[in-house]
Amino acid sequence: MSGLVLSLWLVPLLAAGVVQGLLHDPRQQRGVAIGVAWLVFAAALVLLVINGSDDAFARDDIELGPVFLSLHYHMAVDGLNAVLLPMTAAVALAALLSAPRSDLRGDTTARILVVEGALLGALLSFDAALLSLFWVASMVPLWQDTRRSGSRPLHVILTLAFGATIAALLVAVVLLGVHGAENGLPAPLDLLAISRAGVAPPAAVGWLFLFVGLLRMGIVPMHLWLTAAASRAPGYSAMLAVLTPLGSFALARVVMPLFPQVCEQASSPLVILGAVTAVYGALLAVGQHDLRRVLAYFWVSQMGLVLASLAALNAPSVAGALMQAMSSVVEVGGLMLIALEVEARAGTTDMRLLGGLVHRAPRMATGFLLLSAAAVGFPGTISFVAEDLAIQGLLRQHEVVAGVMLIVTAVNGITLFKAFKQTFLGPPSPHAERLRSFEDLRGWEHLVAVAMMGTLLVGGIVPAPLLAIRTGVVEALKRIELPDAPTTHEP
Amino acid sequence: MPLDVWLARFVALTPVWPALGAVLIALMLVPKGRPAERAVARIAWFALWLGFMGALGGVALRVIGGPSDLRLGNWYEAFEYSFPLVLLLDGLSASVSLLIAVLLLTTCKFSVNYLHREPGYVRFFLLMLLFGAGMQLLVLAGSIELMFIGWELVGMTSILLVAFFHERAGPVQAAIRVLVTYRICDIGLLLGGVWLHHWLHTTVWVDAFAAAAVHAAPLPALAVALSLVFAAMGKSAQFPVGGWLPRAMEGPTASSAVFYGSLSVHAGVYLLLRAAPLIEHSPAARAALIVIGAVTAVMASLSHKVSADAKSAAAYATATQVGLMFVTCGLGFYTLATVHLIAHATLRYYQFLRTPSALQDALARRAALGRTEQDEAAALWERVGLRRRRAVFRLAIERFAVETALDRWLTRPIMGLSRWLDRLENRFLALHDRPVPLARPATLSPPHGSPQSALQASSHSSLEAKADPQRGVEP
Repeated sequence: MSGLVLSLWLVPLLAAGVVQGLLHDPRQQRGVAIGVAWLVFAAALVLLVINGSDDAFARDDIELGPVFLSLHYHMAVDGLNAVLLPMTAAVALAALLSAPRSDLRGDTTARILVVEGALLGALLSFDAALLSLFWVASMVPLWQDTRRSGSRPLHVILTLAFGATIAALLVAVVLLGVHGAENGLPAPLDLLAISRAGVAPPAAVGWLFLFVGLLRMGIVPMHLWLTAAASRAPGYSAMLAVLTPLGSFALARVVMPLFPQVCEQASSPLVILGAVTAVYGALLAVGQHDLRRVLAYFWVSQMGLVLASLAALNAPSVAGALMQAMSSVVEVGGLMLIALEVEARAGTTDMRLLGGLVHRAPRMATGFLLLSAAAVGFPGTISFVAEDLAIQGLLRQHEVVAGVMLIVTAVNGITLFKAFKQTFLGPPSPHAERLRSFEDLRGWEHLVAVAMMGTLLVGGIVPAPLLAIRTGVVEALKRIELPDAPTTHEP
Repeated sequence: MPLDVWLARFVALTPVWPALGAVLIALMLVPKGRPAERAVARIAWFALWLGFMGALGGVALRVIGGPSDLRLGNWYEAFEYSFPLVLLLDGLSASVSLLIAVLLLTTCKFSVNYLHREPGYVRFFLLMLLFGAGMQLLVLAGSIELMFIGWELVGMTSILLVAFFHERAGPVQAAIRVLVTYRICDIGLLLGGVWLHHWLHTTVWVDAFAAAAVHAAPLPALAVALSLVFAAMGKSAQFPVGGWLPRAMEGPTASSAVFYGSLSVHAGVYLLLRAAPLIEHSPAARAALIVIGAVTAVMASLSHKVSADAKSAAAYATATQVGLMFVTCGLGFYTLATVHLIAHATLRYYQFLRTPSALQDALARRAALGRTEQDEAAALWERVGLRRRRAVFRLAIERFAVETALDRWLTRPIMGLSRWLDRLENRFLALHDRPVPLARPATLSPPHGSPQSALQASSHSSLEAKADPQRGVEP
């Protein structure tokens, strides 16, 4: 078990080094990267099957003791990260399989592997320092990409986001360390030890982790780096770093269980902030002409729903939020892959220059349509269940926000179908007419799209196993449920 | 096992058969190559027959007095919340379910020949089966949540069939119009469910009806009723959101007949009939129904008179009759509205199927009778003063400028705000002065490699190519 947990994050990082430093043939680089990604995905699936039903903070799979200073090596699999692990591995694998070979040279391949390893490491970490380290590492390739992109504003905004993340996490870790030393905790940065110590850590740490989580989610007004990166940074590695549930994961892993007083204070403002983000993202997405920007703002809108539901602090809303955070990665990730495939073939994602592509790429069009339907919570998909739970939870105390979320979902549906129509239907634009060689999804691209759609459909039609995995986590998080939350009768 | 329990289980499968047929056809599309028309037609025919038998079973169950509230368990349960799978089989749902099954069977038979060798043949049958599943679920649903699933399926398939001829701009633009109306008005159904849950703590129809009689409260009742009326307005093309109906005629004749002539357009009326015991608690909502229905009936009737093409005229005529059904629902004549619904759906279905021959029919009628209904209407019209005639004609020909007003006061401000915020962000990021870079198309690996020269040429030319202004028009 320890070996599996270790290999999950270490193997991609080592493979990235090998691909970057030792291999020079692009075919070998691609082959090694894809082989490693398959292995990691399989290992994550095994961990899900073995550990997925365990309660949060109830497992202690790997405990190697202090490695460096107070950096405590503590990683585990529980209900919160069990599904996120194979999902992250699957998205990385999908990116590697779908990327054009000309794009998939050493640099890009290594970046994707680094982001994958760092994300998996962050998801596995039960140690604040380790979590922070992996968190920052998962942003490094994106930051490097923007530095090389030649777009100064993009680099500036990414540097700001990157710098703010590092500063906040550093201060939080130092504060936790000082707090641990003052109270004589043997492992001052171990999240599990802190939760069991009975001494409340400083609230400032909670606020700092909350800030970092919101920043990573792209909550308004901290979304600018995300939309800029998603629409302008080199696609495949950026997609993995940007479209990740790490932000909401941090709230559920660190802020909610360790800082209940912060949650209680911030609950209502965060619900409102989530609603504002959802509306803002939906409003911006509906007016975009660029497919990647549409998806970036759509993601922001979805994260608004996730935040509002998490902040409502009751069992259905938290369960819905965690499920929505997970399904959004598959849905928006799948849509982004198709957008990148369009870009690779047409040289643009400006929808005014596209149109009528369904004739040349019916599979791509079908994939986009089905993923769009799943993304807006069409019945029979995971998002439908997630949104249903989230709205039911919000209804208990925030009826207006629940109503707003329904409107946002409707607007998002219009946005994605409009994007589908402009890209794939109607008469082709003068630009698109010249794309005689525009190809449909090929081999692995097609299989990736089918796998994503299949996952969303199967998970939506039979959601019970997915919900069961999270039961322990949600039960654990219920400890911080607001005391004055009124209960409602069941239908 | 008692007969009624066995029958109830069979009836519960009524929406499942068309859905299974659709899944089978979808699976046939996964490997490359077009499936045989005959195989597709047989699957559709068989699935619809099973659906028909289920609907017939529903009527039989009503006749023998079996259970009307079929509780099938929960779809999912989590954290003090459950999604109930419950069907409601009463006189209304059983009769409308049978009507749906019959019309879908007829449509299937008609379309096998009508769409023969049409490129979208398989797509049509796939969507029709999904529509059938959605419609049966909508009608048989015993809770708002389950009804919403059917409602969404019906909406999505409607939109895709409006855009059936997707190579033309018109149908695609019309599909967007339908989508916008549906999505906005679907909020009504969701809000209705939310309010109902908040008011009576249930969304199961039978429980809600019983609880509403005990816990009468004017304000929640008004909120629920108005939400449901709003949802019904969208689906049934009522004022002021009915502009999508004539545009929806861009689809194949068979789909126009079954969707916009008979079934889909009556889904709103069905919702009103289903939720009648709740709407009755709110006189204001009933008054709103009467006003909306009457206004729609008058406007659609006048628009019908000035329509130049047969399908548009039929669409306006449909909206007129549905408007009258709204009025009857508002007045509380539910049996009359139910009879009106079934009779009108059947008649209009036939009329829509005949629209390709409308001119021939009109000429034959004129030849046989010497005059037509239009002539009689024209004679009456002549009695009105010229200035009034001109004013009414102008209003009717411009469809009372309802869509223009909605565009001007709703769509444009929203899109304007969206673009303004976007510009603001871009200025903040100082990205506004950079042209959108067109990435070089990637080299695709052999044997599928693309001719670089052609692609690069297209990319370079696209830098200078200006977007077609027509394509940039927002819905």
